[in-house]
Amino acid sequence: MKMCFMLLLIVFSPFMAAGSGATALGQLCFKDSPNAFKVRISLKTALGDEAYDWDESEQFYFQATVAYGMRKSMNKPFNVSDVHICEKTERISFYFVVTDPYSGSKPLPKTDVENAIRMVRARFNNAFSLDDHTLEFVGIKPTFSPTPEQPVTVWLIVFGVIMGLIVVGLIMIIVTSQRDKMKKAKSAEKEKENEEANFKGAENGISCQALCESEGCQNEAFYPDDDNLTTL
Amino acid sequence: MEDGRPSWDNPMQFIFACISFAVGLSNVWRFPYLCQMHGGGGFLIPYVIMLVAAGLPLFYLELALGQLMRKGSIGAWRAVSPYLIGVGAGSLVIAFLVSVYYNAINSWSLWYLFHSFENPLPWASCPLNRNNTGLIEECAKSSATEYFWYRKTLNISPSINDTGIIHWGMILCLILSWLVVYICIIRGTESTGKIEQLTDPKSWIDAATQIFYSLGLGFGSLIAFASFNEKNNNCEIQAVIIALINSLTSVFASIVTFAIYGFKATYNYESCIERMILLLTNTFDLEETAITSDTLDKWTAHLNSTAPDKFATISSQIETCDLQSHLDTAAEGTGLIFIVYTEAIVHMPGPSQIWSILYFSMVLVLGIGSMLGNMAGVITPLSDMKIISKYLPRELMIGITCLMACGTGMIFSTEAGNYWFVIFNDYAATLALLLIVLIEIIGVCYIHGIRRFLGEIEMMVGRKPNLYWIVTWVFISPALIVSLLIFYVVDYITSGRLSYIAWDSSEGRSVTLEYPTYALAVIGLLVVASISCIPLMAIVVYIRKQLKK
Repeated sequence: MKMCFMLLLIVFSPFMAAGSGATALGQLCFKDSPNAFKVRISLKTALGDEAYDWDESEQFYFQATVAYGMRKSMNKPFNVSDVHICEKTERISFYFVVTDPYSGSKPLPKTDVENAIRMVRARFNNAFSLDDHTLEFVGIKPTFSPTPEQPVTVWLIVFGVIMGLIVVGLIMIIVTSQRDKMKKAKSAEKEKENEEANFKGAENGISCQALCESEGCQNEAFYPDDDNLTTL
Repeated sequence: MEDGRPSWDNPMQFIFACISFAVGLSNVWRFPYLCQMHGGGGFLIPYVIMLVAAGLPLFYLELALGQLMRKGSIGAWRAVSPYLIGVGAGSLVIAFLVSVYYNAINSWSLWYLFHSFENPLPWASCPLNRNNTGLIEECAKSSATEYFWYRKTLNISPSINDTGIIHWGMILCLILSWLVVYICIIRGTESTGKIEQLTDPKSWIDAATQIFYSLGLGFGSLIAFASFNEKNNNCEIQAVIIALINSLTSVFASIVTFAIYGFKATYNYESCIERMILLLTNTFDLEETAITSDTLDKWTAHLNSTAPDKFATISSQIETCDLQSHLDTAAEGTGLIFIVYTEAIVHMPGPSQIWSILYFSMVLVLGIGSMLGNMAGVITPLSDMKIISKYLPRELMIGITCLMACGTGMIFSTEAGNYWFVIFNDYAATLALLLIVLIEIIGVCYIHGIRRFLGEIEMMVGRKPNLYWIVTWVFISPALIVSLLIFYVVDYITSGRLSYIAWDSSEGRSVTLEYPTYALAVIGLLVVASISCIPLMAIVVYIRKQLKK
């Protein structure tokens, strides 16, 4: 009886080992694992008609890129087999965990993986022709590219130009109006002078020179009597 | 002309000056808003009736008065009856108050215009926060255009009590806009006419107020403009033309505005749908192209019924995308011009800078045109008063007025500035204008005498105004305005405490607050300042006459 039992155990042990191997993977990478990252890939949004199909080779590429990132970050010889993928969906989303290349039983903590991904994020995106939004690592915030700072405050320059134009225009207007006023004042004075000259002309006899200079010749006889001149 | 008063080069200049004054930002922002609030095209019915019954007659009255008396508002009303000088003074006060706050709009337009030269436009996207991990919270919760308006342009405080610091960029723009206005005014009648480039129950009450405010009645500006006319100018036809053009521009602007509303609503609606599709696709790990905009509702229902637990986790983020609700959100005033339109501009095809520059140049031209009319209502009566014109040269007087208005307007550059702006916008001109216009028409028809007025017009233009004008002047318009006034007073009394809309930066949306007492006092002061001129000046004139005896 004991021999039979021992025989059965030996026969069935490989199967049990295989089963526990499978469950071992299941224990490594599962949906609610604290060390697993969810990845979401939006090929159609990123590439439209040129989207490639997500197949086993693409998944292999993904594993290789993760391994590359881990190598860069932790300087350990990670391999494709250290990246475990599970819970694949039609969305093209899946979970993955990374195990240590030396002791492949426990998954590495999330922070290590996160640092590695952040370090090579640009290369990662380029590898798949995607960007931070179409290749999503749920939990790793995309690094925003800061909006390019304006080299000079542009609006101040435009303001300065317009302000300068307005001030120049203002000065020109004020100067020309003052000039016009002075001209008017001068010509008003000239009118007064001419009247006085006419006055003199009337006193000293007809003096056409003085009369003709400003407004043409006037016949003294027809010059209307101004009230001012009646003091003669 | 014998009296040495400058005059327009030709009648077209006068017409363009009036159009430039009348067609302003209220055509672009207030009329489309009222149309939408009161049922769209149906609003045109009360609008046209009010235009014909009260707007046009009063418009012609003011023009005829100015052309007859050849003086600004104070001088014109003194000629009608010495006791009515207060009407002119009230118009002057209103015109000054409006000038103070109206130019703030031009300074905002300048600010946006200068920023339109930046690439990319600063209101196109939200800026990042300090450690570059995400967008600034206030911006993410509202939108990039709202953030730029409330934070970068106004730097608005949470309530009217927190005055805060002055926005220096805004002060610079305000000074520049006053310089532009100053330059245009000191050129006198020549310049205002040349601004010709213009591409553009409650509904009855709103129609009437819109007509009055839009036509610029009661500011004294129309009297001022008309006072520079030749004596025999046919201002009757011109009044009809200008009022028609003003109304047509309002309708045209509404068409454009509604197109922009539609564009914005469609864009927001489509973004909403895309967001929902992404949310469902990601939560349920469906294939990327499984949900389309047509099948979104079916999928939502299906997923809700087949996986209710999972659906419940995202139920708070589910939005119902409804095009109608986006269309129904109307914005008026500064919200329309600086938020809705800029958002539409950002999404227009081609380089947005060009659209933006064009748009804000148009807003600026409209605003400056109206400003010149406002200032004419202030400057002309002042320069007619011999006391002032004897001691002050014209440029200096205008400069002092502009300086005073500019200085007062600096309060709009503080953090609470926009709240004070709304107070001025809502209360400086509305009730007082109605009263002034009412006294105008009573003064001309009953105190001056309608027959005398008709005879004077016959002397000026060559023929008596026809029955339509007489009936509206004597009966219809005064009755309409009295009923409007009664409505307003009743509304003020019954609506309880006045409230305003403040911006909550932590939530990224608007909230309604009540005015503190001192703000209510300022409101009262604004309304009383112009109205009180009428009885005060009448008393002064009466006392003077008694003293002379």
